[in-house]
Amino acid sequence: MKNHICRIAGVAVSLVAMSIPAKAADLHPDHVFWGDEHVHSGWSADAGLSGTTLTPEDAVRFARGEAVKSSTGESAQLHRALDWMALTDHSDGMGTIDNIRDGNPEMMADPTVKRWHEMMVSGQEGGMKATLEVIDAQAHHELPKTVMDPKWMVSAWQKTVDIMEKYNEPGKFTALIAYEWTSNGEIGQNLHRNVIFRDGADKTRATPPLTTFVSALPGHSGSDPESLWAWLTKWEAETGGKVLAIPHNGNLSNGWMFAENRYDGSPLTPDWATERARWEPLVEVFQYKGASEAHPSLSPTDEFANFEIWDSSDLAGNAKKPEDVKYEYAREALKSGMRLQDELGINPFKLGIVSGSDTHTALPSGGEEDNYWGKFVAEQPGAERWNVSFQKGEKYLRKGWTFSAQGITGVWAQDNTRAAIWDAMKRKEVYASSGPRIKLRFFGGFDFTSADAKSDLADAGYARGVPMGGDLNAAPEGKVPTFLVAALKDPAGANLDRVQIVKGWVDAEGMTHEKIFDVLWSGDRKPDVDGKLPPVGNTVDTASAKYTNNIGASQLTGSFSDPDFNAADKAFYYVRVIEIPTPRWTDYDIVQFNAEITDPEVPLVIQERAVSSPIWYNPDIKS
Amino acid sequence: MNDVKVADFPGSRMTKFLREPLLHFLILGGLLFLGFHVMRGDTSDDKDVIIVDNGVVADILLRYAAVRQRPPTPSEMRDLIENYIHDEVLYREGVAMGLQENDPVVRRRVRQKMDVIAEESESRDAPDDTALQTYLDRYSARYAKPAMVSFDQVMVDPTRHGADTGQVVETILRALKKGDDPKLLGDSGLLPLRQRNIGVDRIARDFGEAFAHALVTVPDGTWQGPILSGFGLHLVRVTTRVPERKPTLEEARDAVMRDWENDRRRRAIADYYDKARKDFEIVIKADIPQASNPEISPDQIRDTRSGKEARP
Repeated sequence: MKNHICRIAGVAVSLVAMSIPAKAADLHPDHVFWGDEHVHSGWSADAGLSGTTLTPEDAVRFARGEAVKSSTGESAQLHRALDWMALTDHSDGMGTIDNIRDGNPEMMADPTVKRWHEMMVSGQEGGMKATLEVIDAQAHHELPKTVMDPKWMVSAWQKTVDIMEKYNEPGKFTALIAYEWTSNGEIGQNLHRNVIFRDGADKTRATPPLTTFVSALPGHSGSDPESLWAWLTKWEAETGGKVLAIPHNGNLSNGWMFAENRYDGSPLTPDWATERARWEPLVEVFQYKGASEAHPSLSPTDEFANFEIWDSSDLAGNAKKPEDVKYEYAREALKSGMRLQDELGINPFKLGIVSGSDTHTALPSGGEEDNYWGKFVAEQPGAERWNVSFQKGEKYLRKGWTFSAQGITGVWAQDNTRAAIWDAMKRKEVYASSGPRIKLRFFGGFDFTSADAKSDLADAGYARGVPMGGDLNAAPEGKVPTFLVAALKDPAGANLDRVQIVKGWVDAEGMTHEKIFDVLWSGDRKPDVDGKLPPVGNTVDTASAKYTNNIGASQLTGSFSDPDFNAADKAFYYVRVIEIPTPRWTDYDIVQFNAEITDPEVPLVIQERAVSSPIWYNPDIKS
Repeated sequence: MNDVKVADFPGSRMTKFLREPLLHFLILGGLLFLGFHVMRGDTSDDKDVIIVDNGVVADILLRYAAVRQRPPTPSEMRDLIENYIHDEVLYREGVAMGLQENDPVVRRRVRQKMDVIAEESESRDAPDDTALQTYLDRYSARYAKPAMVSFDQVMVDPTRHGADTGQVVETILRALKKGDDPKLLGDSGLLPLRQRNIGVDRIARDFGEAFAHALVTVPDGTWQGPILSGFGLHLVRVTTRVPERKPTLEEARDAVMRDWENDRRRRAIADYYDKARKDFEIVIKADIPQASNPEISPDQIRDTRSGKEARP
C-alpha cells in the first residue's frame, strides 16, 4: 500500500495532508441514515399477480419522498423520505409476471398459467388467490415450466439495475442494487434471503440473479442456502465486487431458518458455519409479515416479547409445531450461535439487526402507521383491509389486521453512499426500528465510567470501546464490561418508555440463558420487589387515534455494568428501546377510513421499538 | 408437415435489438401476431414457414448462458430449439382458430405492446443544454440547493424539568448571553450542540420540521429562543446563513436529465394514444347509467373505458 502511494506521490501527499488535521470526531460514523432493505415492485411475481403494476422506478421515487400513483390510482407519498433503499424483487419468476397478467400467448399455452391469468384479471380477490397458488406451486417445485424460463429475467434484471443506477445520488439518496433469493425449502419453509450488492451496474448488470430453479452447488438442491453461498462466492471472485445476504421471516420457516443441521439433514460442519457467518452477517427482525426478534414461548419473562407475532404456519400454510419456534427467532439464534461456536469453532449466527418492509405494493411505507400502504394491493388503504383473509389453515385464519406496518433500518455512517451504507451493514453498525426514527448509540468497553455517559458519548465510545456490532475480547483481570447507551426520541414521534439491555450467554455446561435489564426509564417509576418496572401508562385515545407526549422521556442516556458478569462465559448484549404506546395502523384505519373493526382481538395500540445489533463478549480471544 | 429450416449455430451479431430481449419479445410477438395472415399466404404449397435463423438461435443461447453461466450442450440446444418450434406451431394454430378474437387478455397484451412501441420509438437523442436548462427553470423548486445555516443550540428537556422548565430556560439563556460554555448547560444529549453549514432539509430531518421552520426567522448573532421541537425547548445562536439558491445546470445535470427522460417517456405514450385516437370516431350507443358522483363528467367515464370502438 505504501509503495503504491509513493508512485503517485503528488496525489498521495495532498490526500495525506488533508486527512491529518481531521479530528477523531470526524473519523467515526456521526449520522443515522434510515432506509428499507426489502422492497418489491410489480416485477416480483407474487406482487404482479396480485395486482401491483408499479415498477422499480415507482418504488425508488416513492422512497425518495416523491408522490407516486398507487396500483389503484391513488396518490401515495411518505411523510418523510428515506435516505436509502434496496430493491429486492424475487429472482424466481422475475420478469414473468407482466407477461402472465397481460396474457402473453406463449405463457397462456399452459393451462395453469392461463387460469392464474384469468384469476388476476377477475379482480383483487382473484389476484390474491392466484398469488397464494403461485407461492404454493413454487414452494412445492410445481411451477409450470414456462414461468421458469430464464428468458424473462435477463431483461428485467438489467432494467432494474439501470433504474437503481439512475436514482443513486451519493450524498443524497442511496439506491442499492439487490434481489431476493426466495427459497421456500421443499414444501414452503421460508428461507428467503435479500442479496445486497455494494457495487453499481459495472459489476452487477452482467450477471442475472440466482434462482432456486438451478443450483450453483453441484449435488445440492436449488433451494439449499449453500447454493446461494456458492453463487455469492463465485460472483465476488469473478467481479471483484462485494455482496451480503439478509435472511428474513424465520417466523415462517417452521423451524428451518436457524436449524442446527444442514439443508440435506446432515450435521453442521465448521465449513458450513464459516460460510454462513461470512455471507449472512445480519437478520431482519421487523417487517410486514411479523416480527422475528423474540417469541413469548422462548422468552416467557420478557413482557415485550409478544409483539406482532406470526406463529401459525410456514409460508405455504403448513401448520407450525411448537418445537419449531426455537429455530426461528433472532434472539434464540444469537444464543445458539455462541453454543455452536464451542462445537464448530465459529459462530454461524453472529447476526447484526436490521429491518425492512417487504412491501409488495412498491410503496415502502414501513414505519408510518398512519400512512400504511399495505403488503399487497388487497391491503392498500381502505375500510375493509383489516378484515381480508390472507391465509387459511385447518386451525387458523390469518387476516389483514395481523400485518405489521413496519419497519426501517438505521445505519451509522459518515456518508450516504452505497459504500458507506453497505460497509456499515457488513460491520453490523446498524439497528432495526419498528418505525420511529429513534437515534440510538450503544458502546461496550472495559474502561468506561458513568461520567462517559454524557452528550458526546460517541467520542469516549469509539476511543475506548466498540460500537454496536463489535466484539469485546477476554476481560482484563477483575474488569467488568460497561456499556454506554443513549436513545433520543424521533423528532416527529412519541416519547420513550425505557431502555433495556438484553443479555444472552452460554454457561460452562453449554446451556444458554437470557436476561433483560431495564436500564433507563422515564419518570420516577420504581421497580417492584421482583425487579419489574411498572408500565409507563397510555395516552392513546383510540376514538381519535391521537396520543400525547406528556408521559415518557425525550431521551435516555446512561451506562450499565453487567452485575452477573462471568468472565468465562460467552455473551452478547443488545439494546431495546421501547416507546410509549401510540396508535397502531388499525386505529388510524378506524379514523381515516371509518373501518368498522368489531373484532376485539384486533390491537389498536402499539409500543414501537428500536433494537440494536449486539456487542459480543468472547472470552476465548485474549486482548 | 410444416417446412422447418434450422440455421447453423452459434454465431450472431449483437444488435441493439438483441440486447433488449423484452422489447425483442414484445415486438417479435407483435409482428407474428399482426403479420400472421400475410405470412400464411406466403408459400406456394400454402404451408406456413417457421424460420429458425441465427437471430433466434443467438437469442436462445444468450438467455440460456446468462442464467446457467454456460452455453447449452448440443442436446440441450436441440431441445431448446424444438421447444421454440413447438411454441410457434401451437401459437399459430391457435391464432388460425381465432382464439384471440374478443379475448380481453389479447386486447390488453396488444395494448401493452403498443405502449412499449410508443415508448421505444420515442427519440433517443440526448436533450441539449437548452432543453435541460428550460426544464430546470420550469421545475427549479425541485432542484433548489437548500438554505444552509450554521448554529449552536442548547436543549432543555421538559420531561426532565416539568413545571420548572420555563425557569430553567430563562436561567440558561442568561448564562449563555453572559458567555458560559454551552457544553455545560442544558440536556442536549445526542443532539449536536454545533452545526456548521447544514442544509435546512437536514435540520428538518434531525430536529423536526417545526424547528427548521422556526430557525429561519431567528435573528442572527446572539442567543435567542426558546424555539420548540419534538425534543423540547431550544436556545439557539445562528452564526452564518447561506440562502437557498437555484443550482447551475452542471450541478443538477444528472437529476434533471433523469426527470426529463422520465417525462419524455410518459409523454410519448400519451401522445401516441392521442394521435391514434384522432383516427377514430367514438360512438356511444349504450345508455350509460347516471354517475352517482356528479363530479365525474361523461368525458371522464369515456376515458376510463377500456378501448376504442372500431368503426363499422
